[in-house]
Amino acid sequence: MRISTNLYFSTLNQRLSEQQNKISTLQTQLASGKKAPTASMDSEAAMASLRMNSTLEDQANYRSSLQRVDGQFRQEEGLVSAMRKISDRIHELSITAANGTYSAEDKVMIATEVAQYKEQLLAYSNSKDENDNYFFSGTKNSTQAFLMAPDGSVTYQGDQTAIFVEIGSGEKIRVNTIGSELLGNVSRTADDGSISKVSAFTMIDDFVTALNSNNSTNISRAMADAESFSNSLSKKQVELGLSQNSVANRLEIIEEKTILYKNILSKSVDTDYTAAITELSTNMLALEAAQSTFAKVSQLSLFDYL
Amino acid sequence: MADLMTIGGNATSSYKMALAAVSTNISNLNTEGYSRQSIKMVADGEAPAVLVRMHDSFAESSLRSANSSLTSQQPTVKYADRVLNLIGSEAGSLTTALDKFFSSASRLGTDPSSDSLRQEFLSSANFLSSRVRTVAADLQDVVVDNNSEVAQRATELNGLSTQLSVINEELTKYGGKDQPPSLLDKRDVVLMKMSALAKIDVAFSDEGLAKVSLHNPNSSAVLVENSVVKELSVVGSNSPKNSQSIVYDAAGSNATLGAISGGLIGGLVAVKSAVIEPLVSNLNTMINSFVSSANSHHKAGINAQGDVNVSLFSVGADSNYAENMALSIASSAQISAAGRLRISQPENNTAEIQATLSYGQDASWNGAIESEFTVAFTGATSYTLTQNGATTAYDNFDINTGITLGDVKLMFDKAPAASDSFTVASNASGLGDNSNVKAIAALHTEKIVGDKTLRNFYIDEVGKIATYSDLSSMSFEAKQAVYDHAFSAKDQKSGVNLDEEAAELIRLQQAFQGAAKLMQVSAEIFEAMLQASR
Repeated sequence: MRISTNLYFSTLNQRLSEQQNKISTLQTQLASGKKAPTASMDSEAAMASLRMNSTLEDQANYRSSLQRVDGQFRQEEGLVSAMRKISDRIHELSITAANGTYSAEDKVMIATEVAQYKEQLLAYSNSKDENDNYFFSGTKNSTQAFLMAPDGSVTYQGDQTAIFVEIGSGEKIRVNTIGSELLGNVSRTADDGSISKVSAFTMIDDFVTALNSNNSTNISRAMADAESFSNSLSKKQVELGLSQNSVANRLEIIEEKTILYKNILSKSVDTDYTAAITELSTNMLALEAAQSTFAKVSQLSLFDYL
Repeated sequence: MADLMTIGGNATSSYKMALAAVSTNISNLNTEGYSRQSIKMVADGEAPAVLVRMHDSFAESSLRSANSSLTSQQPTVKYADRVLNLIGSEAGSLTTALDKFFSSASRLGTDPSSDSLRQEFLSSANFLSSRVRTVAADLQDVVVDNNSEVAQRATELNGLSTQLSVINEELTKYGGKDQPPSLLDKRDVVLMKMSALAKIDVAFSDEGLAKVSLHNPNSSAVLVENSVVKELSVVGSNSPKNSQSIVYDAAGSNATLGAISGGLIGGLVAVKSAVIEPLVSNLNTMINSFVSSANSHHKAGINAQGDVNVSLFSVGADSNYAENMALSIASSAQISAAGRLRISQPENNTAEIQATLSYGQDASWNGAIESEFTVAFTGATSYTLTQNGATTAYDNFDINTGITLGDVKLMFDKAPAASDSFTVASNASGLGDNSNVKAIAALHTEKIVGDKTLRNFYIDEVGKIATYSDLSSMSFEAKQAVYDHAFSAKDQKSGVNLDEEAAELIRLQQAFQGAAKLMQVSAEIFEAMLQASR
């Protein structure tokens, strides 16, 4: 078969540029650490990168939501524990006061202490978070949760809307504690056995009145009230503890998933250095061979012999 | 039989011609489209040799066709890769902006009254709309570049048609005999260049004149016949934006060509209609679906200023939704993270009963907040509903269906008891409510574009382009192989090989010397005869 001089050279040229292209691609992959620094270099890797990065972003998002929610739970738990201490102290004082050996004056002294706890409890229940929002007003969290009127009566100003946050695909957790549920649910058993609900503030007011008037029936009622209040607070503490647990479990799962996904992403997107370097040396060898043959062969010409 | 002198004379002039052909071959080594020349010797040396243009018209024709196929793949690969890098690379992909938006929405859900989270949501919504606009504008740039390249290539094709018509006219002068080889070479070069622009059908007359028409489906569109040229031109239109069609013979038949097969023009038109236009249209569909879903949720909520029915994004009046996408709100206070209504209950209700609200029961909701209403239970299945001072009694309460009033639905987590009551009112100061922003964040996993989620729809679009780009590259390589083969088939006949010419040079030189010697011998014989007869 005839081959023209031009075709001969252009074929050699084409081979050389093919080799150089391969080497340039490998160099880019090695330098950037990515199989596809531009999507068209390796469309499969580019697609995998889009999908996995989105999934990783989801996980990162769940993690940051969980950490925020966890912080909320810890702060709420701290406040509920502080309230629990007050309620335990009131319970203790009611037991002391119910003891027959205390005089009416002693009870008035106790009343002064108890009255202070109302102020403290009010302060706790109107605590604000780092964004200056009230913890216990439901969703009306720019409104003070409990407001004390000049006559000493306390009213709840928030709402009853519960807030749920998604912490994993589909799994939801309640994050807010409603003030009226926390402090408005003291069960009081009347003499006839019927149960009504009073707020913790009313409970304290009633206790103070009972102490000041030395009303032993109402003092023992306060004992039962305080116990019920302590119980409901401890139930809330357990709830918050459980919520923190499930957040921690979820975080662990997310960490594991993140590592797994990063691994998959790296395998499909990052340059395999060993393979790339081996391929680079093979190609460089081939290029060198092509270059030296080109140099030698292109010097051959019959005209040199004329 | 011719005498020795005539044979020698013919031979020297033949070898002289052959040597001239060799030198022409050598000097035209790098001339584009040059066909090797050769000398055909005549038997018995009775007549001078004939100059032959070494040429195979079948090889030429199959190379033209391979050329059209190959060049049509160049813009396909180029534009598919460009679009793929635009929408599919990590930095350019819209998935990054979408993920950021939905992440910030769901983070805002954990604490809707946090101003820093509201700012984050606002800036990520702004980022998303500006990314969408940028990608859409970049795609329009690709469309515009494609259009102007088509226009430029059409102009080139017209120029080549004109050149061919001049060559045709020149060829008529020779009446099919002794055409200069360089003129035929020039004709073939022009035809090859035309085939690089569009796939053409060529028919030659006896005189060697080329008649060129576009290949199927426009075979009736004759570009050159004799010295008559019909031009191609482009006409633009703005529906859809930046669309362009190719018109044949605008001055005469003025026909719009449906498609052009092969060549650069065919490739440009094909990649536009197969990749770029569907992508632009699908991106618009996607953005329109997303914005209308996000807006319908956002409008159902109430913002920190107490307004309802506020849109989050706008997409403009024309159908270029992606290019027009913009954020409709200016401050974080305008984010409607909260549901527009709130439910409240007195402290003496059944312990820990939870009532939840949902909207969207009434498609014709006009964005007004319902007047406050109260539901008071009087029994297990009976309740009264009081609104604007009017009280109506119902006795058909079912915990599974809840209570619906207008656009609002009320559901309970456990059965309410008699004397439980619930009041539904405007949520004007309910900054801490996350129910609405949660609905927006949930769009992330909802199938809102056809039967796909936003993210999957987008990634599938990238996938289509990636597949197209991969196939184009593969097809390019295959067509390159076909072209190379066709080229070497032509070259085998027409190409110049220097070593071969050098060998010819030596051979012909010796032959010439031989023929010259022949003449010398003949002269000497003649002389000898004269001497002998003297």
